[in-house]
Order: sequence, then C-alpha cells, then structure tokens
Amino acid sequence: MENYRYEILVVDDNKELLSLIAAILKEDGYRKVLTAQSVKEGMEMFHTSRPDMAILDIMLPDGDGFALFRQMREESEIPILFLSAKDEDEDRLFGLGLGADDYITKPFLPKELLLRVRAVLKRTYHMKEEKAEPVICLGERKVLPERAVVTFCGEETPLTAKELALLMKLNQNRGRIVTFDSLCNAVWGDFYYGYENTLMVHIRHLREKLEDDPSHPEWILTARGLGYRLAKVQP
Amino acid sequence: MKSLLKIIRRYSLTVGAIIFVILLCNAVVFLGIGYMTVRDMDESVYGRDSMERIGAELSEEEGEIVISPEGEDILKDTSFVWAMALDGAGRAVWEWRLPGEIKRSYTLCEVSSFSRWYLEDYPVRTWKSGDLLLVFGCDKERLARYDMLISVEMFTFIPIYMKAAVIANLVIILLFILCFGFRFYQSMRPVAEGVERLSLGEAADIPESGAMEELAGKINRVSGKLKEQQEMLARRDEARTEWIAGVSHDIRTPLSLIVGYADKLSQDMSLDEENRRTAEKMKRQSLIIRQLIADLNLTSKLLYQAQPLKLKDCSAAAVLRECAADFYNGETELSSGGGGAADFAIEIIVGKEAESVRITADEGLLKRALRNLIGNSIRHNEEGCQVTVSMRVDQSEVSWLIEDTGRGIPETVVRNMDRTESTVHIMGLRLAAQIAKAHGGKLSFIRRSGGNYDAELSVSAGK
Repeated sequence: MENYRYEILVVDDNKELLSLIAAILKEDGYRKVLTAQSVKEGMEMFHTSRPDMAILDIMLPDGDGFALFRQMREESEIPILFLSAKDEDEDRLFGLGLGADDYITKPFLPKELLLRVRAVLKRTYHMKEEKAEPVICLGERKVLPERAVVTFCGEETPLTAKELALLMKLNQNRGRIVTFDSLCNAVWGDFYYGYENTLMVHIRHLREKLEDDPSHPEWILTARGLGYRLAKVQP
Repeated sequence: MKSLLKIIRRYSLTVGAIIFVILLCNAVVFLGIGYMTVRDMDESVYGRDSMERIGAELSEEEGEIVISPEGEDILKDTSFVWAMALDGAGRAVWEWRLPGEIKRSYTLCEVSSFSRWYLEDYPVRTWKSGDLLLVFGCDKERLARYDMLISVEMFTFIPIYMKAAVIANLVIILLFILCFGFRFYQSMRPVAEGVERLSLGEAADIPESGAMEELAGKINRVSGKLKEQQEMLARRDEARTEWIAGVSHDIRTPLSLIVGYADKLSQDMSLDEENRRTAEKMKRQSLIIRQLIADLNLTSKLLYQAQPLKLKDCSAAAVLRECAADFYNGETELSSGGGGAADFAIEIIVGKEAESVRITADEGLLKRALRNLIGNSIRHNEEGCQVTVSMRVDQSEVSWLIEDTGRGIPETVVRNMDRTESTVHIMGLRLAAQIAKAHGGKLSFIRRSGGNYDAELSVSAGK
C-alpha cells in the first residue's frame, strides 16, 4: 500500500497511549511513526523530521493542540487530525473550523483510527488518481459520470442530470441505505414531502437503464419505508 | 394586578355587607323592644281595657260609690298602686289604697295639671266613667311620664325624612368605602407588584414606605434570600455538570488504552480462541462504558439546562428514517452485554399527514432519543425481533410509537423511571425522556396485553 510510506507524527501527553497508537499504526504497516509528549517536543519533531501527517491531542502539558495546529499550519499544509477526550460539539466544530482534516473522540476503536488516517492521507495525496477513474461498475454495465452515459455491450444509454445525481448520491454511500430524504436533498435540495412520486419515477427510469429486469432489481434495491441502496456486488 | 382589584372589590363588598347586617340587627332589636314595651304598657299598666272594666264595676249604693269584689280583683291584677273617683265638683267619692299625702279634693286647674303631668310625684292615668273621673296612680319608682306634641307638618314629613336619612347614610358609607378602598389599593399595589415580580423569578424591590412598610421589608428580605438560593443552586448545578464533564473527560484516555489493547489481544493469533474471545468481551464492555459516559454527560447537561438546544426546522419523518437507516447501515453501536447484534427488522409507518409535518427541534438529540428506544428493542431481544415505529401527528404534538415483537419494556423499568436512586441500566430511556421534555413533550409507556410495555416518544409540534 502506498499509504504506508508516509510519516506520521503523534502528539499526546499520555505516554502509554502514544505507544499504543504507534503500535496500532506500525502493525497496520506504517513504517515511520514519530511521537511527542508536548507542544515544544512536537514542534521540534515537526522541524527535524518534516512528517507527512500529524495526529494531535488537544490538552497538552505546555499548551493546547489548537495552538500547535496553528504553528504547524503556518509552515506546512500537511493533513492534521485531532484526537481528543473532549466530545463537546463546540470543541469538535472549533477544531474542524480551524481547518483540521478530521476529529476523533477518545475512546476510539483502533480500526476507526486506521480508517480515518487512511482516508485523510488518500484525500490529501491521491486526489488526482481518484479523479482519473470515476467509473461506476454495475456488473456488465459501466456508468461514466463525466459523460452521463451507461455502456453495455458496446451500446451507450444517456442518463438525465437528475438520474445521474441520484446514482452519484447512492454510489457515494454504496452498500448503505440512503434515505428518501437524503436523496431528495441531494437532487432537488428540498424535503421529501411532495417528491414521493417524482423520486419513484426517477428510480424506475434508472432501473430501466441499469437493470436486466427492472421489476426485480439487483443493483438499486429498495429499503421499504426508508430509502434505496446501491448494492456493492451482484447478489 | 387583577387579584389586587379582586381583593379591593371583596373588601368593599364585605364592609357594605357588615354595615347592612348591623343595621338590620339594630332595626330588629329596636322594633322588638318597642313592641314589647308598648304591649306591656297597654295591657298591664295603661290598661284602657282594665280602666273601662273597673269603671263598670263601680256603683252607687246608699249615696256612696262602691266597687264590686270582681272590680277589686281586676284592680289588684293591674299595676296601679292606688285609685280614686272624683265627682263633677272635684271631690273624691271613692278611693282604693289612696296614700295619705294625696288630697281628696281638686280644683279644675289641679285636675288639668295632674292629668297631663304628676300627682304628688305619682304618674297618673285618668278615665271618664259616667259622671265620674277615675284617677289611677302608677308606681312612681317604676314609671315616668312624658307628654309630647308634634306638628302635623313634621308628622307628614317623617317618612320622607327617614328615607332621606337612610339614603344620606348609605351615600356616606359608600364614599367612605371607596375612599378607604382606594387608599388600601394604593398602599397594596407596590406590594402586589413586588410579589408578582417574585413569582416571575425577579427581585421583589418593593419601596419600603407607608402603611405596608413592614410587609414590604419582609418580602424584600425573602426575595433576597430566594435570589441567594437560586444563585447557590445554579452554582451547584454548574459544579456538578462540570464535575461530570471532567470525570468523563479524564476517563476517556485510560478507556482508549483498554479498548486499544483489548482489540489488539482479540486479534492476536498467538493467543488461544478463548482468550481472544475474552479480549473481545473486554472491548465490547469498554464500548458500553463509552456510551454510558456520553449518556451521563448529556443527561447531566440536559438536567441542569447546561446544553442549549440547537433548534432548526426539520422533517419529523426524515429524522425517523435516518435513524432506522443508521441501524441497517451499522452506524449505530449495537453491542450488548451478551452475544453480537441480533437479527432485526425495522418497519416504519408514516401516514400522509405525518409525512408533511415539519418541526423545530434539535435533530441530533431527537435522533439520539429514537436511537435509544429502537436500540433497546433490538438489544434486549437477542433471538431477533421486528421493530415497528408508527408516527402520529395531531395539532399539538408529533409522536413515535415504538413496538416490537420481542419482550417489551418490563414493569420494573417503567416504575423506576422517576426514581433517582435506581440503577444506570435505564439511562438510555431516561435520556429519551429528558430529550422529549426539552422539546415540550414526554416519554410514555403503553401497556401491552401481555403485561410489559411499549414506549411512545412525543414532542410538541410547535417546538
């Protein structure tokens, strides 16, 4: 994995937690993890090693993580993630408002930390790659969002703007139920009430273009009373 | 202020009523005494009837006037102390118990005088019987005589004078009542205003002067004490909330270590299966502690109103759908004390009317309340169950009824909802109840035929 070559700096005042986080990251494959226990030490480490990403605690013995964040941001644009025992919404919003890439509340599951670190790294350093391949695969059919077409057996079927918007929203949450409300908000920017039939009609049209048998859909599945789900793999 | 006017009105009516009752009593007593006196005088003292009968019992026998024995009996029954009969020349021709100091002969002038006045200090009554003038002496110790002349004009106007007097009295009384009532109102008004401010939670601040000086002073002191207590309570609540927030903050770092190491151990292939399972259990329990800390923190903030609601316009049906979808998408922690998440299905019933409803609510909190209730149904039915949430709307509230095919909420839990000393296992339900309350609604429990309960969450449609 490409991600593992990135250097990560972790700053937390708790020594044991530091070694746990370092162990979690290293076991997952990250080759270089640096740790620091204070703002001063963190800044020194930041200057000497130039890490690719930082994970900061908010309460530190010689200052707070927000201040450390600002100092780092003055010199570099590396992704920074807050890891805090404060679950107050204000703190979370303040941290994200400063421009942090994510905010994790303690206690956290190791897997959660790894997923978030991976997502942040991917977002920061792999933007171009992601843009290069925006194809949605639905079995034999492929949807090319940039051109708003479905290709199947060499034939191309165009998608309308609304159909594409619906599909993109479902694809963003692929494998999970997206409620009627989120779909309507994404496509029409409005509440679901009043769009019940419209939404149903658009989904039917999408199915006609994407499914082998639109009355027994295999990709766009209905979650009764809740919304729709785009299947990850063909059942 | 309305109540003060009411007090004044009552006071005036009461004063009026008291005066009326006293006057009525006086009139009754006066008339009664008058009637009794007149009756007594008439029958036993004045006794016109007796005098007439006595006159009839006098007769002339051998040139002398005598009284029959019956006549003498009648005389004895009256309260007259003596009697005599005068002839046309003013001589006493008959006498009965006549005292020595009373003359036996009278001139016309003397007769005229005593008939209207006294005879030797005796009040007398006279009666003409045939040619004789009967003179009866009354007990001078018991009776007094008063002769009176009234002008006819005066006599005619008496009823009018009396009416005028009554009316004048009533007007004066009314004026006094109004005057005193107004003064009473004036002096009471600042006190009433102060008490009203007190009831609104403000300082009483009543000017300490006038008739109500002492009362105002006392109320002001009470107001001061109340304020002091309120401040103390607020400080205590704040300290408690901060303490809970502090503890929950400090607990998070060690808990991170427990979760992290337990997770590592549960995936450590060098350990045997049983030890890995034990580590997995430790991890799951730690996550429950995490949820409890979050709930405890929120519940204390809601209880002491330290958490401002982030109100915004939202669709009540959308909140429910999102909450249910989160369960399906695995975004809601379902780990329980025992095994893994059960097999569940959530059915949502939202009518056409309910679909259109928008409410002003803290969406995050509302979702949390619904999540707690739906999560309870799933967690406590390890063998799997179907949860049905039906949404209902009326003019004043929006409600969600959460039913499941499982065992329902036991009675002991429902009974312990309001008891502070009970265990923390019902914190999720309590939190739901607090969230409902913060939104002008409530959490209620509906008894099933089987004995256990289903929960219904409601919030005010306005808020």
